[in-house]
Formats: sequence, C-alpha cells, structure tokens
Amino acid sequence: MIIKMALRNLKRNHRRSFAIILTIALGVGALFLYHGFNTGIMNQYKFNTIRSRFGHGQINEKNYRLKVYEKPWDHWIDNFTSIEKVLKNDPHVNFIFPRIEFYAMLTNGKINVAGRGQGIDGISEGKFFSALNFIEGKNLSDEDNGVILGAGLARSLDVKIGDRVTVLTNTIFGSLNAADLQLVGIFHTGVKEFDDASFRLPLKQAQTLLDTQKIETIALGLKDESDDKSWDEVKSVIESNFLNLEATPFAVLDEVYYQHAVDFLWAQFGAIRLIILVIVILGIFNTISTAILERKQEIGNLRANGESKKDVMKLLLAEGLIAGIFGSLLGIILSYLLNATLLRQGILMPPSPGITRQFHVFVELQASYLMVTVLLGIACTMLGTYFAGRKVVQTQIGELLRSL
Amino acid sequence: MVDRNIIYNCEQVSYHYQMGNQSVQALVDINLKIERSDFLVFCGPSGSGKSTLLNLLGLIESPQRGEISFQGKSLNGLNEIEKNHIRRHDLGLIFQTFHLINILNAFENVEYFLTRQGIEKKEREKRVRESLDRVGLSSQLTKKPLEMSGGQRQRVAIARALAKRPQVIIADEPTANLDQKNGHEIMSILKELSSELGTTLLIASHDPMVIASASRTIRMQDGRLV
Repeated sequence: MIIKMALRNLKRNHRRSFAIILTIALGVGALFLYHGFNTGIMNQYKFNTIRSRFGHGQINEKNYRLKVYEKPWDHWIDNFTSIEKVLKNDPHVNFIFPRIEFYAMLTNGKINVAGRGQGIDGISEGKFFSALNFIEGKNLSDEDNGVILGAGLARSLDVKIGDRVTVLTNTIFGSLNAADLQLVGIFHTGVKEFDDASFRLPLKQAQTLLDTQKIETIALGLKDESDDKSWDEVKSVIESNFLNLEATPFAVLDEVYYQHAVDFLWAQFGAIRLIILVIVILGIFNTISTAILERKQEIGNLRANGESKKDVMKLLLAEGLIAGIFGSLLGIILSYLLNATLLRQGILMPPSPGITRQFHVFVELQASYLMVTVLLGIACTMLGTYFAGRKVVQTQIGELLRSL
Repeated sequence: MVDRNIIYNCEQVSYHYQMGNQSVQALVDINLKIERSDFLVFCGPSGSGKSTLLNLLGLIESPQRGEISFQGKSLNGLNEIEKNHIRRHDLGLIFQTFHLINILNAFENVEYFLTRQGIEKKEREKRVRESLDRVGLSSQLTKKPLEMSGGQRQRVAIARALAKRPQVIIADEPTANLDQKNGHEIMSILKELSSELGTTLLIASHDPMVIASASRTIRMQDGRLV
C-alpha cells in the first residue's frame, strides 16, 4: 500500500515529479560521466607512461634508483641471461627490454650538445613502445649504428634523417670512446625535458661505447595492460628469485608526472562529486519541500487516523526512493546515450602538465561504478526528502489539519 | 471506581491557543461525562469552543490543564504509540472539509486505514463494500474524491470512519458544506449507525436539523458548557 501511495503521489503532479527525477538524473549522469571521463584520462596517462618510456615497470639492483653512485656500472646487472630465463617462463611477461643509460656528448661536427643516451633492443622495443611518436624517420630496428633523437635534441643539433651523429662518452674504465651513428628517427613523447635530452641507440652499440656487457635496467611489457595484479606477481617472482634485485612499477618510476596527476585528478573528482551531490540534495529538498507543504492537511489526516510520525516519514521516503531509482536509472541511460553519440569521438584535451601535445580523452564508463552512482543518487534523494519532510512530520496534528 | 458505561470523562479541562501575541481561551474548566452509545451534539455559535473540544476528544490536541479519560484511562499519561493506537482503532473522524486522500479512489480511501489496522484482505474488502453500500456509494467505488460532489465525499468520509468499527465517531460540522437534502441523508445515516452499532457519536454543529436529531445536546458559549 505504501508503494502504491508513493507512486500515486509522484503521479499527482507530473511536472514536479519530472523535475525531481530530472534533477536526480542530471546529478547521477554528471557523476557517472565525470567518473568515466576521469577514468579515460587516467588510462590515457597510463598508456602514455607505459608505452612511451617505462613499460609496466623496471628491474634494477636494490635501491639503485634511490642512490647516486660515483661508478653506477658497479651496480648494474651482470646475470641478465639467468633473469631473462625466469622472466620468459612467467606467464604475465610479454616483452623484456634490457637497457643501459649514460650521459654523452653528441656532435654533428659543428654543434656539441649534452644528452642522455639509452641503449635498447630496437626490434622488441619498436613493437611495444607505440606511444613514442616519430616526427620523422622510424624507430630503431636491426641497424647496428642507428640512433634516434628526441625532437628537442635533434633541433639543437640541427640534424635530419640520414645525417651522421657522433656520440662521445667515457667507458666504465674512464677512457674516452666515440661512435659514429646515423640518425634514423626523431621522436616526440610530449614530455619536454625527455624530448630535449634523450637519444636511443642499439644496446650492443651502447655496451661497446661503455666497454661493458652489463645491463643497467630491465624494463618489462606485460600481457594484460589493465591488470595491476600481474605486476605484483611478476615483482614477487623476481624479488624471490634474485634477492639483490627490485622490481618497480611505472607509477613509482614516473611518480612526478603520472602518479601525482592521478592523485590530483582523483582528489579533484572527490571534491566535484561532493559539489554535485550537494546540488542534487538542495534541488530535491527545494522541490519536495513545496510538494510536502501542499500536503500538510493530508498528512494531518493520516496522523489523526493513527499513523505515527515514523509511518508518515516512511511514506515520504518511499516516494524519495522511487524517484531516486527512476532518476538514477534515467541518469545512467542518458550517460550511455551521450557517450555513444556526442562524446563518441572523444574530447580533445590541452596538454597536461609537463606534456607538450594535445590528446583525445574517451569517456570510459565503468560498470563497476554504475551501482555506486545509482546508490548515491538514491541516497541523495532520500536525504533531500528526509530534510524536506522532517519539519512537517513533527508538526502537531491540529496545526496540520488547520493549514491551508 | 470506574464506571464502564462512561467512555469519556473530562475534568476541569482548559485549552488556550496563541493568536499573534494574544492568548485566546478556547475552553474553560470543562467537566463532562459521555456515555457509550450517546448521540451527542455540541452546539453553539462560532468560536464557542465546540470544535476545540472535539479536537481534544479526538486526540488531535491535548489540553493544557485538566484531564480527559478515555475508557477509564487518562489520556494525559499516554505516550504517542498508545495515542496512535486509540486513533487507529477506537476513533473515527469526520471533518467538515472531508480530508480524503485525493490520490485514492473511494474504495481505497476507506480501505487504507483498515490496512493500517492490520485487517486481512478478505475481511477488509467485505467491510469496505458494506460501508460504502451503507452510505449509498456502492456504484462509485472507483471514483476519486475530486470526481465526486461534496455530499458524496462526505459519505466516503463517513464510510471510512464506519469501516474502522470504532468506539466513537467524531464529526465536526459534517453538514456544513452540504445542501439540505444531502445534510438530511448524512444525518440519518449517522443516526442509524449509532443506534444499530452502538457507536458513540459526537458531533459539533450549529445546524438546527443536526441538533434536532441528537439524543443529547450540549450548548457551549465562550469555551464553557452552558
């Protein structure tokens, strides 16, 4: 009977009920879409971070990242083959990228520029690091003496594809060494400081330059991009098999840009969610207050015939519950419709902090957040209804019956 | 000793209400005993206190001074749950302005409070049909209050009070919004019920026709029984 009464009370004034349901729908829709938008940005950041530089994470000697050594190569990995064997047996690992990093001077014969080199396996990295955008040329493949430069570095050296670039550095024993390389590609990650100083050359070439067979870092590409648990399992396998090593996820490696951006965006989402919910509660409170004031005599009649304050509040809350359910579901449906139509092409975003290029964000609606949003919508409606009805329900019966 | 034949006992009951900064004395030291099955009409000019007295007897308001006993129990000592129990089971209220639930049809208006009394569906339906039949509305079950005339609405209100099978029916100016023909019909229904079911009938009215049909009349003036 309560549900029947509640439904009919909602039907009593179509326009007002529609306004209530629309308020809830807009609030829930905004919340759901904004969550999807945030998820889209996060995933875009994550993709860029993983697929441009770091992979899903890296393996180094324990504490290597946190210390500055006079001779860092003394702490490089000298048993890469046995580590590679373990990693190849791990079902989560798809790509293994041995790397070494070093500082060097680059010259085109006229201009000298300092840079930070990475010796890499060009063939396997080319398959994985798809977010490394090439402005000119291509990625490293099987060339023995190829080099790719960050866009800023290439600009400073004033070189173009096919030009010779000489890389000068010290071997790990302190003597000067040089390699004449040919520019095969100019890349652009969007991270200015990386693009202004970084260059990549084949791992073997870098090892020859530094006169070592060691590996500084092993970056990994996992099979499942979205599953963070895979990384935890890989980390546990590595750290239990090789006690001197540690595996660090990309979010820690790129803490400044990725993790801070993620933390910032979620904090912002929390604040905006609160604002949306407060607006919804106030909107509902306002509309339902008017509706309840018009029903004071009816409420008085119910009370005079034995309905308790609690019974009347239950009836009002049942109306709130039904409006909340309809409004929330409408909000979810509208979100999906909007995402499938107007937002289908994504939203072009300006460059984020530390990044120089624009990017498209796709709203990624999360089924896992759907129920949370619906429940928030219903809770807000019931809260708004409770505040709107509280005073009237507490009023004396005689006063209610006398009201106009 | 409690006289079981007395349903209401008012002792030194006074009530005042605020009108702006002024305190208006609506009832002054009312002493009154009402017997079971009484058909009692409170009459008197507007502002004499008859509606206020009915409100106190109907547990709509509480007296600021004095004591009202219902079936031997002081109402002053009852908590809200006990009062609601009396309102739900022992009292049937009929208002001048009907106070029906506009979203429910005639049948549902009568049925609603029976549901709340916890009466089973079959018995409920039987009582609703009987009550509406009794007031001549057996063919108007699905009509909503706003689709009915004033007389029909008042009949629904009577059927609603009747179906509860209360000890007391309290009616405040039940004929005030009706024409003479409808007023007559309503009064004869109420009178019939009172004598048939032994329900105590308390009515506030200044309608001579209503006053004439009462078994006992109490005149009121300036908040006092005269």
